[in-house]
Amino acid sequence: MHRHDQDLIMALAEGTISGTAADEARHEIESCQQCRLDLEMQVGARSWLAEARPVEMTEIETARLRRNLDVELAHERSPAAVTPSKSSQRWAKLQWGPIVSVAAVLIAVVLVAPQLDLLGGSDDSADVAATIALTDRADAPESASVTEDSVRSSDGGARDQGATAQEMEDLTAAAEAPAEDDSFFAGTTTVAATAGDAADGALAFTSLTEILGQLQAADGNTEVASDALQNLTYLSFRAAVPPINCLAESAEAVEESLERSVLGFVELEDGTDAIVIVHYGSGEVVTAVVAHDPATCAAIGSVTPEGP
Amino acid sequence: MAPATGQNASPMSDRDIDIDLVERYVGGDLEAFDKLVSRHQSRVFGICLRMLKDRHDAFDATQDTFVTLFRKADRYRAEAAFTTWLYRVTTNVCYDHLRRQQRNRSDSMPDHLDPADPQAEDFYASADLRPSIEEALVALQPEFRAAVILVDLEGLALETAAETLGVPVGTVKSRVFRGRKLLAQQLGNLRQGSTHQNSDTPGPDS
Repeated sequence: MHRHDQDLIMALAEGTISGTAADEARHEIESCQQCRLDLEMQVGARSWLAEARPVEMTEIETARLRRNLDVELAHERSPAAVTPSKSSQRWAKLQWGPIVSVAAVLIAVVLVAPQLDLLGGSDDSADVAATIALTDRADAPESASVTEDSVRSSDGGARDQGATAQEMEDLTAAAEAPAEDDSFFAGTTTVAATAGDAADGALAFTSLTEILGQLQAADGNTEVASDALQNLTYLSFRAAVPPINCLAESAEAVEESLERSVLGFVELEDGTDAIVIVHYGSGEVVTAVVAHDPATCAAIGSVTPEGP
Repeated sequence: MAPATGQNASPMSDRDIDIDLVERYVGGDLEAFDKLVSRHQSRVFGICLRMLKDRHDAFDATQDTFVTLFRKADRYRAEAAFTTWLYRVTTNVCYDHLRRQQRNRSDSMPDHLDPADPQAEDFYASADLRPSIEEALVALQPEFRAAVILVDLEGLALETAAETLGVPVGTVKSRVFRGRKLLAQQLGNLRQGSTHQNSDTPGPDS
């Protein structure tokens, strides 16, 4: 077929010519059986394609996309944002108590809340928490560096299944909200937190102590507990920078560590940045909290819970 | 470019809004990137799903597209519409995924670990991508498929599609023409002359 014929057929099928030009084109095509059939096919295919409904992402897919892009963005921008520790001696002076408390409460809520119906009668919130925390099991293959695929499997793995669309929307809304906007924490609760400067990937965890206090004070108040848990885990997730999450290094630093979870990319009270990893032993009991230099993943401080 | 404000300011076109957002993002405004994603994720995902058929692959390709966007946004030049550049990235990412699919075809293990999304499954079953239609689109060679998707489903002008695909307008026109023809034949909703069955099997630009 000549290109001229093809152009005429397409023009007729698309209705881009009319009047005399269209009449002439039809007349020209009329004398060619192949051209008539081609025109019929063009019109038929266009008609079918025109009925196609726009494809949309589901709410969960949208939320997952935003989370993954948040992680990628944080990774891309983290090298410039990270300020390596200058002196390991400073770690000796750190107040590790609040960090251990936060980790312990977080774990307790995740483990106990579903059984106590603390999170609104379903284990969805707990699933979200588990989903968001980047974890590393001792019986799973170790990975020195976390790749894009493993990020997906971590944050979108099987535990994601229970997350509701509403929760995902909430997370997305939080991701879209300006860092200083506390509307995410608003509503019937008085829980407040400062996400810090999300652009530099570091979060000030000093406000988590306040959240912890309110969480404890909530004592069965489902809404407060649920919001606080979501805030904690969301902040923790957003702060974690998977490619430098230091899980592998942390596994080597603590003996008898069965499972590890990234608490977050933390700005400690003296202004030092660190990746903090919580270690669990048998019975999911916290056995250690280890701080790592974000630049090198070297363990630069650790604390273990005091005995009973 | 500053957003239009005031009574006499003319509203910004979609193209201007995109350019403004890209400039703001390149200048360090992460919120601008979020807005770019919000504005374009549906169409990018739509192209990816129709190109790749598999919803998980489409999701990955969408993510890869936006990762490329935030890594290379500074290379975008405002001479062309942002969408032209974005869809070019999208189709290139899809071509990469198709090549990967080709390589992994013998591997029966799924390459994703994401859980089933019931909403996605329902949508998949009820939407326009019914199996026969989906198969018909996917049966097209990727070059034909991309041209048909961009022109007939995404509504791009031939010139824009040509720019997006990096080929001459005549080539896109030919791909669309032959792509539609093959679709019509595959769908079986038109009479099929046996003399024409094999007339479009050569490569896309032959």
